[in-house]
Amino acid sequence: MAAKRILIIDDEADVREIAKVSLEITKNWEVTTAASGEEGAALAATYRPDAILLDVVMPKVDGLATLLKLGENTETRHIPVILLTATLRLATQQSFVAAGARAVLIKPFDPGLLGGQIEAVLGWQ
Amino acid sequence: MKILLVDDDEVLIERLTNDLAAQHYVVDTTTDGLLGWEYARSAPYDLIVLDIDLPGLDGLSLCRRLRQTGYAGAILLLTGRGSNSDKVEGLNAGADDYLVKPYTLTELAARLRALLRRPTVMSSPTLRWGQLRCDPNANLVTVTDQTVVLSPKEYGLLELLLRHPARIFSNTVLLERLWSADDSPGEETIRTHIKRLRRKLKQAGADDMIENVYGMGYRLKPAPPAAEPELPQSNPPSEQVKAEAARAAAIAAFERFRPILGDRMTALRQAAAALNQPPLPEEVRSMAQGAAHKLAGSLGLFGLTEGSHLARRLEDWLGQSDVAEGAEFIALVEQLDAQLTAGPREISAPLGESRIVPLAGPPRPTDNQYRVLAIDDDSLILAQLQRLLPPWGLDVVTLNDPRQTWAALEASPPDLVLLDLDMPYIRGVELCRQLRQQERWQTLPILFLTACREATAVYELYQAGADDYLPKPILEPELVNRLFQRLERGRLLQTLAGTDPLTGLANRRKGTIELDLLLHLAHRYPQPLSLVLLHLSPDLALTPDSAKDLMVALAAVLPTLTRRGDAIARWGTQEILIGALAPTWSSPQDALGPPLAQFLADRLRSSPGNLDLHLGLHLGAATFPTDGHTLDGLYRQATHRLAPLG
Repeated sequence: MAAKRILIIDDEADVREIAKVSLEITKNWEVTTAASGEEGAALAATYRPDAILLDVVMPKVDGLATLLKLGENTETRHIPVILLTATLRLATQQSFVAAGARAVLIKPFDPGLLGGQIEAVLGWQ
Repeated sequence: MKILLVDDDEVLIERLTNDLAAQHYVVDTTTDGLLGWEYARSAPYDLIVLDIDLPGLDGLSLCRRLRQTGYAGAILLLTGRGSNSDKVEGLNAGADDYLVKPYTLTELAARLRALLRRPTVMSSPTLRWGQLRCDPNANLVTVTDQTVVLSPKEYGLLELLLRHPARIFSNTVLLERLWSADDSPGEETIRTHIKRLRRKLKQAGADDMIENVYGMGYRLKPAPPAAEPELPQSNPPSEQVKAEAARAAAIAAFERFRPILGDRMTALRQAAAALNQPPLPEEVRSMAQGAAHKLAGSLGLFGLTEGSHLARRLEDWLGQSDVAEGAEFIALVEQLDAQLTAGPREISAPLGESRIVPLAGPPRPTDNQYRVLAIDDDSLILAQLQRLLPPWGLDVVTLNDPRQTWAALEASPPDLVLLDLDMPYIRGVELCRQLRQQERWQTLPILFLTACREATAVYELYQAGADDYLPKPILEPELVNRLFQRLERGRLLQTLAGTDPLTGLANRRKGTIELDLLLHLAHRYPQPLSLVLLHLSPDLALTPDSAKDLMVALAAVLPTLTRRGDAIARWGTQEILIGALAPTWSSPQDALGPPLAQFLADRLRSSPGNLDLHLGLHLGAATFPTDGHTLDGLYRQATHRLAPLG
């Protein structure tokens, strides 16, 4: 399988870094990160990743707003998005589905398993 | 390897095609951007070469559209412009490479070969089946280290089957994948190639690899169990080793992030301190809650699973409406603080529970996958379809209550609908009629499943707008065959919106696409194409309004004189162009002349004034291939032949 390109959008530096290192080590994927929703949405259009990991709770432009933004742009709307969150509530899950998210990854994740989980949920295996 | 060239420079196309064909590439060509788009959607290509300046649809837009719809092969852009911003724009549009004119043919061919060799295109580790090895990078096939010499087509067949071990390939799909549009041999040829391939494989010792699934196609048989375990080749690190390395890297990064984690801890300690003198200020509470949330999400990353649990309990505690008893909170904060100070231990076991939850949203179509919506109140039939269709690359969405049709259409728009005739709540025919009343679903292929074969019932289906019907009980080969026929036709004829506001006919742009497609089909499946031009003579003493009325009336009557699938377009203010593939008439003048004359006579009778409309409406026709090979040429020919009706 060709190396995948992943964009991680999360305001927390530790989560960004661990996810990046984990995907690089276990899957040899190319990973780029953004620290805010605005930066992430802009980067997605030029970087054209194969998938986006998107944090739900962020200041200013949060995950859902970023998700909608990605959906509005024809350059990015086809990119599968996996949401990152420490809590999953049913009510919010519905709005994620409506906004087009493919999966929710519950934090904390296991850096050893993350890449395989992404492959499985996006059908990349 | 299959290549599509889209360039309006016909000289270049010819030279390049010859060059590539000599290297055993299968090449399709077109000079129009929109046609390029249709080609790319109707067959899989490994590489697409696009000129930027194209008629129909420019190369950049086409490139963007290809990427948006999931085309994963390579794209090379050709252009006369050479500025950096153009280059960036091209690459942003999803092109893999860029070549500025003028360039030499050698340079272009070299660039193409480089792109085709690229791992992103090929992503080709060696393919294996028992003792057989197929190296797609070298087009090399060996069986127990003996090279098997194959022709390009035999090799293509083998590689395709090896890449999709479970899939059954019909003759149609094989033709589409391995032959160019202009060179479509019959099924006999495929049989011959398969036969030769089988013989060569057998001689080399790879016996019985390809299975003939009766009435359906070909499939790779499961590989025989390996005689002895394979020796690991270069001993790549196992999944487990890599996972442990990633965990170790996370733990090693902990110290770098200790200050950030410490800040979050501080916010919690402040809340604990403030709880000694209630009430807890809102600002402190909300800061602490945010910090607890972040710690819950991050501590586990470093192996501090217990810390994540503690932080989650703190977050929940701070989220309660009545923050009363502070002692429990303070105790939890102290425990967490201790965890953080101790830091992670050296561990290699999985760190706590790691969960990813797929969201049941509308599935997105993947490459070459069609989605079929099946509506039937008989769940046995639905289960049968669920079992039959997925091996053919068809996604099935089933519905046993026709009242949910609209919601299902919105949730995941299908490429085709299978409808039961007799259902509770809404009759299939009525549902079909309702679908056809909405512009969005007018071109959606609809097939009926019915046990009833009475002529009147069948007639009613077609009247309601159905494309075809299939008798129950369902026979797999028949079902699959008919589905693909409709799906492929649907894709080809599905065009961009382009309706003439006055007449409701296709406008010239959409008409061009439809006629070009018919012409393409006429080329591909050698069939005549009849082009008929109707022209309202300008010397006819009609007021602009009455000319418009006549156009509208003509547009309404023409569909009754032509067949479904014929193209009818408003070509100009006073022109209508009709294209009929494999027409049933021997002469369009004879076929269309009398009914049109009758139509005009009727209008004459019902309208005042004394105009001789017969002399006002002219008809001219031309036929592919006798009168020309291009739309322009045929149209010019038809113009020359314009003559009054009757």
